[in-house]
Amino acid sequence: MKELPEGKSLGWMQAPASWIDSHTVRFIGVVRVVIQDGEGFILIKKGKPLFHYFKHGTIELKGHTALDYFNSHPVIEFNLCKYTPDEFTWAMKLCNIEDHDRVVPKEPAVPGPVSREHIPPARTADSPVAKPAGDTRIPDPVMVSPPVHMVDKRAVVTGPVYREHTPLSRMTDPPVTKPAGDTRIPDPVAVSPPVHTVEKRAAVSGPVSVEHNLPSRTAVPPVAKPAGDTRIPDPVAVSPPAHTVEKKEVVQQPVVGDDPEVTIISQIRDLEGIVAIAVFNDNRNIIMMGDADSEVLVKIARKMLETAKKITPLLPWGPFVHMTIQIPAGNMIIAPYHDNYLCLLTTRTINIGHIRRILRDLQQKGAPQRVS
Amino acid sequence: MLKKILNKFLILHDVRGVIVIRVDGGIVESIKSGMEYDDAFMAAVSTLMVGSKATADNFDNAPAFMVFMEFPDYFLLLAPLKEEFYLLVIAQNTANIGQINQEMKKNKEDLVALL
Repeated sequence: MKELPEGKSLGWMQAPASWIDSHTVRFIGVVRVVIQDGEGFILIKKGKPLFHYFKHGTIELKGHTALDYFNSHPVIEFNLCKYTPDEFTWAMKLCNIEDHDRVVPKEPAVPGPVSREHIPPARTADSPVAKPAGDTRIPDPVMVSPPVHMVDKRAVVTGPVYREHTPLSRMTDPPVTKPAGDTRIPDPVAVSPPVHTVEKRAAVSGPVSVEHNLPSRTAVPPVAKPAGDTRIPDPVAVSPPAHTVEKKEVVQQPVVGDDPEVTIISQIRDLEGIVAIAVFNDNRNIIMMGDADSEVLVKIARKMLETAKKITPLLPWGPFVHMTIQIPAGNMIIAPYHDNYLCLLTTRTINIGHIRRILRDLQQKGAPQRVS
Repeated sequence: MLKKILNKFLILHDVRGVIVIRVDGGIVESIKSGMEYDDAFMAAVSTLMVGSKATADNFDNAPAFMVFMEFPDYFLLLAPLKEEFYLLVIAQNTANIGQINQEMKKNKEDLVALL
């Protein structure tokens, strides 16, 4: 795979892969993903992922397989890089995607709306995909035979059908092997033609990624799962579903995305003296930008939050607005931010007055809720 | 004598209370003006001290730390005096933090000498 244009970096973040789809509605560019020693990307046009790619050593994952790999990680680290129209066109070319805003697959064209989960017949014969060695989180490739009228209630995309739509030819793809020992990658699942089954799954609202496999995948050689990767589940044999309808619970996610909020967060990150910024809640780290070990940062932030939550009800002063701990190396700040919390790590060049000003500005822009 | 020094903080504009607290949350000395130190308040103060110490211990070398916690109308400012002792200032948001910090610098030596 040739190197894609660099683009303009909006910053590194950590979030679930599903977050990317739902938060890049106005984003055109590439999301560079780093997982362990491997690197990859998702080419995105206004919330629609056009191409997924991941490479670990000599192993390459493309399309659905790469997406599955990204999704197999609860959180991935990525960098949003904005493209100019020229850069985007060039990237499309490199990914072998035709851009007419309406990209028609070379193989059988699918007229009308295409549901996200529309699994093209070709997938039965998915070419073998390899997953990075030692990565046990990658589900094994699932071989699906041509589904008939698969409806995914998560979201239906009308209009453009992307090249990732797997062509029928994929049925003839060679079997997929996974790297030895990688249990994360589910082994291929042989699925016979779907028969209108209803699958209830949680889905994320927002931009729909029409994740069909690229026609080019037909020619992709079998890929093996990296050796020792126990996260890749072994193949599962599935009986033929017919007219599979996926009924997925729609989980509304706050649109933070490329748009206003990510921009605001990255603007704060760019302020002088800000080392790192994170948005987190009790359970997970939602956004992370900057130069810091996100896990350590959020661990400390949670400790501060724990203290703040213990103190607040004991005082008759209402909700806490922010808490800053200053150590010789810098400042660590937490503050309520919408339904989550914001964590800032700064150098000592920023004083409390400056921090208060930043938080006040942020509250005016984002109207964060306060914790009582 | 300790109270006399603490009073220098209390007379600052919109400062409502000053407490010398041990790192384990124990109160050494306290003065106040226009507010009450009830049990809940003292529990909150101790929790802030102990919780902040636990947080700071996550950093390398468990450094001395300063904590600023803001509420809609009040704030708490916790600053180190010496290893085991901290000074807590309770003030309204309209108080001048720079002035409080300056007073801390001016009186730190005297305070430490009395602990």
